[in-house]
Amino acid sequence: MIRTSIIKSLAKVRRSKRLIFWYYLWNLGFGILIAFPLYIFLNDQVGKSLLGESLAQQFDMRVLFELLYYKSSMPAMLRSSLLVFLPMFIIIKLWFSGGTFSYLLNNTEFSFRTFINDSTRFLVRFLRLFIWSIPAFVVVFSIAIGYTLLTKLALGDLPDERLIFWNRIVTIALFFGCAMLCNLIFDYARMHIVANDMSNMWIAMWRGFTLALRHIGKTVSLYIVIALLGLGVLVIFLGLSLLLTSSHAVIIALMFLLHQIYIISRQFIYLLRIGSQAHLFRGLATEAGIRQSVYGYSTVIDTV
Amino acid sequence: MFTRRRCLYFSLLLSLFLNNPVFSDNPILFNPPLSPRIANYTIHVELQAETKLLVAQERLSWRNTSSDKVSELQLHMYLNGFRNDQSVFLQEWNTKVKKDGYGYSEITKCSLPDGTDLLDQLHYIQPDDINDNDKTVLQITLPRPVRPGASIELNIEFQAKLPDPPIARTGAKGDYFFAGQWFPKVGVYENGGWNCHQFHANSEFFADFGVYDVYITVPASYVVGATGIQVGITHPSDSTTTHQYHAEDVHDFAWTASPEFVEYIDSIDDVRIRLLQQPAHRGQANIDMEAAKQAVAYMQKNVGDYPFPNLTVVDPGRKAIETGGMEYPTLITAGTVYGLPDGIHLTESTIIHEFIHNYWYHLVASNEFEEAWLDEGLTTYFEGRIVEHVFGNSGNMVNFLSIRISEIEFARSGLMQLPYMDPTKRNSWEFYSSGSYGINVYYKAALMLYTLDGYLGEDVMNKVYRTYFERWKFRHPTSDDFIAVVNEVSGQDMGWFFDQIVYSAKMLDYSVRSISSKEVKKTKGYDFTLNWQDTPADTITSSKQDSSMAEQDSSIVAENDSTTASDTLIATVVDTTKYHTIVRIHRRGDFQFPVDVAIMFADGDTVHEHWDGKDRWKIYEYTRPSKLLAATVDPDNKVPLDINLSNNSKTLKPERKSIYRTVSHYLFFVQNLLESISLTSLFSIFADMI
Repeated sequence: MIRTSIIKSLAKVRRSKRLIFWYYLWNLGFGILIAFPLYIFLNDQVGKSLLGESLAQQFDMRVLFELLYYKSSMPAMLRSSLLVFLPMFIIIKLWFSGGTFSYLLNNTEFSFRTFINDSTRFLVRFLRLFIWSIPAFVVVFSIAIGYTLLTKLALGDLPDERLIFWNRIVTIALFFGCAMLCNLIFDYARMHIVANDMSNMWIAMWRGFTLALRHIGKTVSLYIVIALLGLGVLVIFLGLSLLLTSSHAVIIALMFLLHQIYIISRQFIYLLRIGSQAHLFRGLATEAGIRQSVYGYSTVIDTV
Repeated sequence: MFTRRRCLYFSLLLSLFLNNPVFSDNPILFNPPLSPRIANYTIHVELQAETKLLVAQERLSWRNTSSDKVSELQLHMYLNGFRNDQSVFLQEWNTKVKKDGYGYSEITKCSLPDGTDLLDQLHYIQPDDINDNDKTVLQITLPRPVRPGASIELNIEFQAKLPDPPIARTGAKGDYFFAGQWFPKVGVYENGGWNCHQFHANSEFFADFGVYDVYITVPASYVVGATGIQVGITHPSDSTTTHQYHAEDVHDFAWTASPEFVEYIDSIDDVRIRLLQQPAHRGQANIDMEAAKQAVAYMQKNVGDYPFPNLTVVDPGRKAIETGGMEYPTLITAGTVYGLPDGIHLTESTIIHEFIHNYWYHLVASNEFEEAWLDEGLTTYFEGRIVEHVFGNSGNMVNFLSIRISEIEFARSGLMQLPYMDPTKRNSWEFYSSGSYGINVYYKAALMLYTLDGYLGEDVMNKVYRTYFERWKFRHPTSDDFIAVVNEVSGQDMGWFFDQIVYSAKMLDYSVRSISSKEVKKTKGYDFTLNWQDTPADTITSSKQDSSMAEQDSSIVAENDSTTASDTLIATVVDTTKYHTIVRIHRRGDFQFPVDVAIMFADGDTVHEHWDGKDRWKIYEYTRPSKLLAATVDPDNKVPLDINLSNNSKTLKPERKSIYRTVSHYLFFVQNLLESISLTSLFSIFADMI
């Protein structure tokens, strides 16, 4: 089922070039808005000095130290642009997620009108669901803190450094593992919301929880496979970027191109994950044998 | 010297094994002595591990090398710096000590060899301030003065508690013990008085050379490391072992004990290196040992002979890093953490730094209370040289995840934080802040020496260091003595330089204030000049100026028929484009230093100028056939003391490539950030990384 979900989703995402482009365009646009002050600053401060030559070669700490100390407006400028545009982008991304889930759960072709309509329809509900995730996060975080304190007590005042180190690694791994599990619970909760046009977030969250845990082998495996795919893309990107270190104009252009390809790949993998989860969601519903028609969706599920 | 040292060391080792468990008597390392041997100690100390107590009997022999009759002694009681929160040290340190964590040193008996009790003659004094609660300097009034050339012996019994956890280089944690500055230690009598300062948070130490025989009794399972060489071992009981250490021509004695130490031995240039490593750090033992070997080899080759047969490197115990990164004669402490990535060379640079101190602090024993730059500055400078020698120029301190930081960059980043709040030479406790102390005595002093390298040349400075070392080893030089060696070796009076940086807090900052390069307007019509040359009649010639003849015009020359061969009237039609270039250099700081200026032109030519840097500004003007590209002060980076490198150059055209490259990377970072953070759930922030 996992393999089928990925293959089916792969086919669908490959057909969704406009959706990927749409995501990429917003990412690039906001990226440029946030990064533009740095361009202005460098143009003014570094571009007209020989410090620029060092920057063209590599990330130069010497230049960074000088800039941080003597051009103290730079960090504030970059921080301001982040503080203004990052929240805007996050809201827009949340807005898009309704349309994205709706499109990937449905078997219809992509249309902007439907995408925007569905995005708008689910915005407030997804925002409410996000608010529900805060106490859930606090619980998981508290468990992590509790675990840390417990191990501290268990290890005593002078534990072996190796124990501390590996315990820290295990704690971080457990935390990220829990975060991953919770994330996929919320993914399935959103699918419930979209598929059933649910407005009770508590019930949606509960159903996401029961689906993710009842089929934990499948849901987690799928998530891990997609995560490994992402890791593979990252490794390939890092390998290629190591080859592009020269300060030649063509190499700089190639590096920019590689960066953008990687960003598109990340978006592709994100959509692949949601698409695969949506396919799995439908498959599990079919297995459960319960069908329900909700404004055009043919599958879905209270008992999955 | 090496052969002698090798023979000496092996004979001592042999005697250790042959005589075991009997103590060897009167070992002689150096005959004749290398130092004046003014302060000599025999100490029997027993470690009571449970209570962190040291119970000891000390025999102090002090020789009066002055021409004065000395009627009192002054002793450092450094551990009393941790006696309570009212001590000068803890007041300045501004850190809370855990209940029961305080340390102290208390003399219980003090007498002359004839039995005269001096306990009533002990008084704590405060030479640096009026804090009566500070008990770090003890004055002993003698029943009769010590005549010039005579010696006095004192028998002292004392009890000391090591702070737990360690504070400032000394203390105990668990079953790890590090005893530094742990015994009543006589000050330095010089210039008609005692130089015996209170223990300050920013300060290190100052003492006279001597011979130490120390008997350390510890639980039998403990591994011991100490200053000097081990010459005996015995077992006073089933549960304890006494280790006898002997050190000659040293001015301090530190030791450590722990059952957990893992011992590694290696040697280089006949110096035996003993590494006492924590079990968790076994994986880093090779790296640490290699760093120690590199430091020993480099300093012997470039500065002078390390006369001692051994070096002990101590890796501090868990939660005892406060004892790390410290130097003692023939013993240094480092410190690392489990899992430290290979590209972060902090442990290696610490080992290198602390070993270098065996030259600048131990052998050349300047006063760390009053002129800390003389040891810390020179040590930081040589640390930079050695890490560059070992790890290369770029990223020799940190080379991890594309972040490269070199020692000199790190030093500069320190300097930029608190530039020139204090002169480099100042009593350690009188600096503006602990930050200013560190920046001035470590970083600014090291950058000063790098700047001297650039000004006088590395060869000259290498000779300076060798001469300074040979002349002042086993003595107490001052800043003036170092400067005198610089002047002598360089053949120049460098007083103007040291006055500005050692004795005052002037800021060095030269900048390119502005540049311009404008096209010179063409002269319309003819311009007649009289030229004395043989030019064939009725010819028009075109000549292009050599770029080196910058002040002359390119021209088309037309000869007047009526002139003679030797008296030619040249008709010049100026049609070659020329640029009038102006470069303004500005001395922004009050530190005057000669600087090089490089002016680069579009045709590839670079004009090198040298400015004495005395005026506030200097203007260079050129009229040349090519336009200016850039101008830079200190093009060869010979003046790392320049506080601001970002104003050192200007270009007419922006360097676009660098801007695009940097912004492209930042854009990519931002795009990834945007991709990773979403509000779909709070967990997605952590789960959407990939």
